[in-house]
Amino acid sequence: MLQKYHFPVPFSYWILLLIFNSTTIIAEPDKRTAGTAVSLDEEIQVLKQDVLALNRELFILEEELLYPSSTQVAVFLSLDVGEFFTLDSVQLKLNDKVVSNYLYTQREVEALHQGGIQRLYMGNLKAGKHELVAIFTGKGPNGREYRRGASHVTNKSMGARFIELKIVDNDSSEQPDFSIREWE
Amino acid sequence: MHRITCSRVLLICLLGISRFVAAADAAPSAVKDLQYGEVLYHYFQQDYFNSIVRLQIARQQQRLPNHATEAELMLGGLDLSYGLRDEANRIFQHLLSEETNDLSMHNRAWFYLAKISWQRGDVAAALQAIEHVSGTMTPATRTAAINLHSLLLLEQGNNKEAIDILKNARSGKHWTPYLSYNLGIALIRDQQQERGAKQLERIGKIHGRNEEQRLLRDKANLALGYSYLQDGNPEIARKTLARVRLEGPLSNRALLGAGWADAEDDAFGKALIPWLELSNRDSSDPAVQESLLAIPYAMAKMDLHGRAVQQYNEGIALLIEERQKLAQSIRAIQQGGLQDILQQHDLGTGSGWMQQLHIDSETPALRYQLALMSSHDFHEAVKNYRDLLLLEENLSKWQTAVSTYDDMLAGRQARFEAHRPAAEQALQGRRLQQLQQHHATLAGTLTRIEATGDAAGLANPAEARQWQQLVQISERLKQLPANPDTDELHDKQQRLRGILIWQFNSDYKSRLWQTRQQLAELETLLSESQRGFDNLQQANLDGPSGFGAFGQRITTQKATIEKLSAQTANTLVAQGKQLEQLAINELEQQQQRVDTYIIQARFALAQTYDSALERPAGAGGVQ
Repeated sequence: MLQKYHFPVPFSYWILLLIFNSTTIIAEPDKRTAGTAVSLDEEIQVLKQDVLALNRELFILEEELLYPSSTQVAVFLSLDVGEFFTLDSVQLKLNDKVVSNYLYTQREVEALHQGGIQRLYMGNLKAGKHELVAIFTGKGPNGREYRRGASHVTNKSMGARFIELKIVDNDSSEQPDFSIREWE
Repeated sequence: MHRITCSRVLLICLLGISRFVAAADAAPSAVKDLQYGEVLYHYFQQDYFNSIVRLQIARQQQRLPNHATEAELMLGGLDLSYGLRDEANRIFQHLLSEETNDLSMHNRAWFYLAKISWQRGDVAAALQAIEHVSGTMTPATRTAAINLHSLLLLEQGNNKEAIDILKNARSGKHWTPYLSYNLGIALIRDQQQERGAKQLERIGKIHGRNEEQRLLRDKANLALGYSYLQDGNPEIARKTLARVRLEGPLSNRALLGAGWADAEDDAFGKALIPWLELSNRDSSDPAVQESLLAIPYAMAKMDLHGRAVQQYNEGIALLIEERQKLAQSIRAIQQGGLQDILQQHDLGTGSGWMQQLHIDSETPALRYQLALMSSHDFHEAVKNYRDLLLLEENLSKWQTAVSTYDDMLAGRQARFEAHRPAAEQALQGRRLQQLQQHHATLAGTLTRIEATGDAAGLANPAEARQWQQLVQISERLKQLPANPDTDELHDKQQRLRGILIWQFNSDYKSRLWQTRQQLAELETLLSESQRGFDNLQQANLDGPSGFGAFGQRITTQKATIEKLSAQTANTLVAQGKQLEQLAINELEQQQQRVDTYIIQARFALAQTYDSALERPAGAGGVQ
């Protein structure tokens, strides 16, 4: 087009090329691996897999060594709230002793909202009855500061015990509900 | 100091990629296993490494009974997101080899296989895989599949088929502005200008609820504007390019195009307005560099030769300065400046790291980061480099943790040895056995009482004493001679006996139930005691060998950590070199482009001088 002006710069053909002849029409860029990078990329893939396997083995070793199933207790937290409660932090007490204080980032709260479940605490308990108390703080209905507790007595037997702290919206009372559930 | 966030870089190079890939992942089903929820917790934070580790552990510990197939599919998707294409490929191939009626699972597996092939550059294999995606599927999977299918066909140059695929999908709920954009581009590439323009016009006028959509709108307007310009419609081109946001990431290209649209109409004075605005922007952008030549060109066309010469000279000076900056950046990268900055940057968690990356545009090693990040190879190389830094950090943490395990194990062993004598004594005693025998005797007695209806057998201690006394009295009365006194005593004994029997019989059922309950509770307690006894016995047997096995595992893992740490360090060096080379290659290309501009500018300058000399002074000639 610009040739008619005999202008040295070709009329921004690089832009046209970029727009119309690129393989990346929208969204996804060209994700193909460059030929020169293949072997290093493969090497990195193998290394990542090895480190993943190592982490798997080490987490299992740590669990067996530090939290044997005969005494293991794990506390998880899940959210099913939107309107009536925004979680800021959780304090967890076991037999009146604080075992965890957790302050949430926005990213973590979003992950919980989407259906993720957080492993909040892992420890050991002897067989028998134990009291668990969770204190939740955050923003309640109408953005007010909100602090609520929930307690639960668990009867620890010989196997590992998994306990879920669950926060759900209660539509009828327009308040959040805090419950504690044990998993088999 | 001028700082720009990397989000702009990402907007340029990703343009909604996350949305599309995530859509294909499909929303995970409701959590039925606690540990599956834990995997999702990391996944939703884009922390693929920990998602994979947690998923593998949960599978090994058999804690995902309700999500088995889904977990396999998810693992493949996670591997792919984490850059483990080969492993992901193996998982999806394996899933497809299993006999199942789960069409949704098959569709997703084929989609991922197509994506892997595409990433490897094997378009034919990718097309073969994507063609297997069929039948009913979630809108998210369908959208992602159509998107990928159309991209593959376009890459093959098969515009017509891409158009057909996109047109067929248009009526569905899964239609998105992105697909519409693809269709517009495909139509234009197929020389169907009018239809393509219609599609892009629609996208170019959307409201744009978020930055992603606003960027797509800019992109459509830019594409359309240049298309109109190429077709000789500068008036519409100008209007279309004016819709591109002036502060958006595509504004430089739009301003350049707007100037050319005016120039096309010989309105060189008007063309100077966008070009002069552009010339004041960051001179590392090719559009800005081109404006440095376009401005004097327009002036020369307006017979302002003196101004044109001045502008050419200024432009050449700026381009030379730009070239020096490029050389400076190349030197800084060669001296490790880029790696230093990446290593200092907080790695954070998850793959959102890139979005958080702040770029100091004044630092020579990072000055061209914006342009570099739009190169896929460089982008991937940075991701791999960052992943390697994270692996290094992970291994270092484990190295510290594992070194304490020996002490913990020694502590446990010492405690075990301290309690061992008491435990052995308890194991050698016969107390539990005696209690179990006693329980068995009691159970036998209860069975006999129930079988014979011996209500007296369930008497409480006081009643049993009274019953025994009455039996003894009866024996004694039998030895006494019969007379009115003994008869009276006999009657009395019989009355008392009758009262007791009535009492036994009336309470028999409730006593029988209570006794059964007590025996059952006793049995539970004895079973638990037996379990404790067995555990103690097992611990006593396993203790020494268990400690040995733990010790062995710790030693093995320590060696593995050491080996992998060395490998990671070596690979990091290699990746760093590759990263630097990619950056330098890109910057050298930019140098070549700037060199070309400089030559062209000098040539144009000479031409301008010639033209000016041909004109008399005062008529636009050089003074």
